[in-house]
Amino acid sequence: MGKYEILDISGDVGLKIIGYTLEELFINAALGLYSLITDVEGIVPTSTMDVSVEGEPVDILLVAWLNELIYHFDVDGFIGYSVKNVKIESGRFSAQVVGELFDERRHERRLLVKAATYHRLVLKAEGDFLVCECVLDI
Amino acid sequence: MSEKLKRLDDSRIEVPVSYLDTMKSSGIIYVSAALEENLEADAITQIANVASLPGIVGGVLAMPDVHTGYGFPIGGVAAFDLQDGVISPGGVGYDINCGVRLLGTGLMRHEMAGVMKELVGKIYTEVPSGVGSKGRIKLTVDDEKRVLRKGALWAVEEGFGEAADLERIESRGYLEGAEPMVVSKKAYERGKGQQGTLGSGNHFIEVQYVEKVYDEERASVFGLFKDQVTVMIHTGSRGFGHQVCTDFLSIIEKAYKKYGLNITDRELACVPFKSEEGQDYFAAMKAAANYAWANRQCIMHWVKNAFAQVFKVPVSSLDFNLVYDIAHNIAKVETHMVDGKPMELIVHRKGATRAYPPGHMELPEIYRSVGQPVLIPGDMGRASYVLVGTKKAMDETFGSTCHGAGRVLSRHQAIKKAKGRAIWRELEDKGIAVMSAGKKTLAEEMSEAYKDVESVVDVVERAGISTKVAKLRPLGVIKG
Repeated sequence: MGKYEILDISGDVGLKIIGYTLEELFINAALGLYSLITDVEGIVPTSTMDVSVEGEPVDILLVAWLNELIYHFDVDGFIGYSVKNVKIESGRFSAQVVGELFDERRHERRLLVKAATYHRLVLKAEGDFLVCECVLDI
Repeated sequence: MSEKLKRLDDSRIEVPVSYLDTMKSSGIIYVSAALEENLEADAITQIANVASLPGIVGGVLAMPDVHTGYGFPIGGVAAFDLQDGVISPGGVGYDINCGVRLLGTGLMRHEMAGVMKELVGKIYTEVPSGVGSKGRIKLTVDDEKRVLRKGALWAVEEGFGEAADLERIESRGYLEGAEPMVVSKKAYERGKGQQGTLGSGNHFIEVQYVEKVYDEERASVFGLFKDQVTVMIHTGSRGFGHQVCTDFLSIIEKAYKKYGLNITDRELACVPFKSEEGQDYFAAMKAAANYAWANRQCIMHWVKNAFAQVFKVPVSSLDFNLVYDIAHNIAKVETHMVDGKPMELIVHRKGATRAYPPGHMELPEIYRSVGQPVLIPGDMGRASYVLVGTKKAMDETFGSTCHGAGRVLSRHQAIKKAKGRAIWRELEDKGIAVMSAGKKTLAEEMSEAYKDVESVVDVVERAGISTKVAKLRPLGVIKG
């Protein structure tokens, strides 16, 4: 099973995110998001961004995390290659995203993701995995 | 058609109150038998969900371009009582005041031969678009507050366009009561560099010509004539509006329970219009609406400059005239007749266009005798329409009509269908020059991904909620 799959949603785009643990699910959600914006292989991990978000229950927390990453891309142009030092505790998530600033001359321009939504939001256990489906507004 | 639905006539279907136990009023879908095939079951459920919200007045209306949205369907109109009704960010959408502006020029179609490629390239350079693009305007916090309060008037004061443009914009390009204080720091941050940018997705700038005039009198008042070159701008409030929606969905999703509301879908989250959260959202939504009107005003200015540079003449010699600018994602307090009496309502239009009739006092004097221009963009390969509002729209749909073609293929399906094809070349073969920032945008946005806008417009005309004035054909398209 991959880390994420793209879901076919009319007009917008969805992510099916898969992880063994909640931490991995959040990491894969970020990687899935960045793969929609550009070809992640083209990102050079040169700088680090600290991110922390709050929200409950955990599916709302995951949407808040994605919206925080969308915000930092929109404002600073920060695009992530990997995520480390993740920490989840009662309604709070923090992590370090490693990546660089988007450069339209070097990075492929894919979708302009503008928000992670609550539309058809699902986070559940499937066998040994945790699976989350999240629709993104573009 | 589901057995629970009832066809009323050749352009309307009723979603009766019995469709869902919770419904407080019915739904009406404006749809022909042909378009009915594309009706999504989820969109019908969403109509029924909205008709279940407190304070709904006169039923939920859905236009022929209706499709499943977040919480509320896209192509929907829902009006709520100001006293005991609700307001919902999901009833407006993420891109607050996404809308359309139509600019007329003094140029004729034949004058564009040989210049379209250069013009499309010039507009693409002048107007920032696409993923990672950087805006030309940098707003300080104080500047941004002025944008939020004044909308298009701010842009005019900054030298983008003329004061005369303002009367040719819905609500004169700004909503009173926008409150910069209720807008989050994050929204300010997203908004500071995105004023005067096109964005991406289905947003576009299109150079067109008037292929057909259906209503000579109204076309003449709107300043439109056969073979005239026009420009259509479709964009909204950019990251600013999205952040306002994201912020308030989160606030309202937490708050609704304390008002005893029962919501079946988080994106339907709403609060009483008169509640603190409701009023804060409304004030922030107005700020975002104003941001969008300023945005389209700035973009129009650069489009005019691009024409002047390509034709090597001053802007003033190209006889530009703003036809109109309309919102198709917005909530407004409006007075409508309900059971023979005037009633103040909070009207949510999400993927629906205001369509006021001749004589309406909110229309500017220039258009009051003929009615409000309604701008309906189609897809980039076919056509767009100018319609006009009617009294029947006032009577039946709170003065509203459709907003566009509506998708039939998802982005993924469209990309699949476009595989091995050069969409830009197909468009060029049809005489349409095109520029796009995104690698896959053209495939995602190709004609086949949308319904034929003509089939949508025909339904609203047959239903009498707006009538055709002119048909516009694309000559060149700029996509984000």
